[in-house]
Amino acid sequence: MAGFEALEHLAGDAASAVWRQESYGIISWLYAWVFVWAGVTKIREPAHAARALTDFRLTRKLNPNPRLGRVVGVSEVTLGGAIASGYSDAFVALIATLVLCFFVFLIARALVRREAFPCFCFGSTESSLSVRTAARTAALTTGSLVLVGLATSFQRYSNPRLVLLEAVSALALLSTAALLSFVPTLTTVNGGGSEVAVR
Amino acid sequence: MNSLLVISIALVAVWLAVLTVTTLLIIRQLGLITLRLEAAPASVEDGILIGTPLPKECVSAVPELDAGLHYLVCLAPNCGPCVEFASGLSNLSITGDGVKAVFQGTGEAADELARLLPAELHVIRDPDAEAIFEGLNVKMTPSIFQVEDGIIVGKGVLRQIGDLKQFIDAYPKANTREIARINREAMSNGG
Repeated sequence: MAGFEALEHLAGDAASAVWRQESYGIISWLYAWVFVWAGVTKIREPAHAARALTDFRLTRKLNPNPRLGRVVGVSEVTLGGAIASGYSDAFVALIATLVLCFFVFLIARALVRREAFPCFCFGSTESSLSVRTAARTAALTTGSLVLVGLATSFQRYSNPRLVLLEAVSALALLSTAALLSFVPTLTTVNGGGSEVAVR
Repeated sequence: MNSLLVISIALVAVWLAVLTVTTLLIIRQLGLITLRLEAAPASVEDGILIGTPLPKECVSAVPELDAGLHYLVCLAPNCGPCVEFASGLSNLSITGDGVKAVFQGTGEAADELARLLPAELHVIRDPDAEAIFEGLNVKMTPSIFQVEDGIIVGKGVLRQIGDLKQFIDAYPKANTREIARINREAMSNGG
């Protein structure tokens, strides 16, 4: 392992930083916000969400009822609420993991079939399915597995102030990730910018 | 409590930092959009009117413009799109269609622009080019003016090389002659 000790230490430090009581609450809230965000976008635009169900071949109807999309959205918000509530933590985290695993499967299957359509995962109707989408969902699944592990090892705080701190921290983390996702777009110069000389 | 508070403060601080960076990037993008809008060409309606007889200084500079059909492609050596346009001209077989490249300047950039143009293309340079630019009141480059029998019958902005071919091809279908007649009548009535 010559030369890899530093990497090993880094991984160990990262693992010990995550495997703490404080991280557990923050990660739980992070997943709660993620599911609520995904669910709310589907409730707001159920037609797009229903269309995604057809694209993922979960329904054979070419024009599925928007209610289907709303049902998916409400289910996600409910799951997010369940994670936030802190009841039956390990069980809820396991359900979230299974749901995310299913999403990874659907995205991977579509990518293998070379199908390109917007997954409407977080409300975007412009970006098409890509390896990045699959990687993001796979990372969320891995994090969810960590959440299951944390749920079996730690108890959630019951002090409202601490819960508020956890929720705010998770929201800051999620907002940071969302803002960072815009940086590549914001750092490009649109269209190359051909200038026209005005005399 | 303390460690959670520290983590929360750190995460909020990171969020604020990223928010600041993205806000600055958004401001930069707005600046770029503003610059682009400012640099955008003026309306094609600006400048000399369709239907106007070619100004005398233009006819004196290039007498052959007084008869026949001509397309005056106005370029400028210091304009990037013009250089790009000039390079693309050699790929179009339009030299026999009365197309003439007009550009001012006598420096190295002007010579470079002349080298880029197809050898068989009729090129009008200074001092004749200056007279044409002034006479036609050229507001932007690259642009095109269509002259038929000494009358301006069409004009346009050339944003890409394909626009020239499109401009020439569209002419027989266009109602520029009708516009020219209306403008001529309006001018003769003092309007």
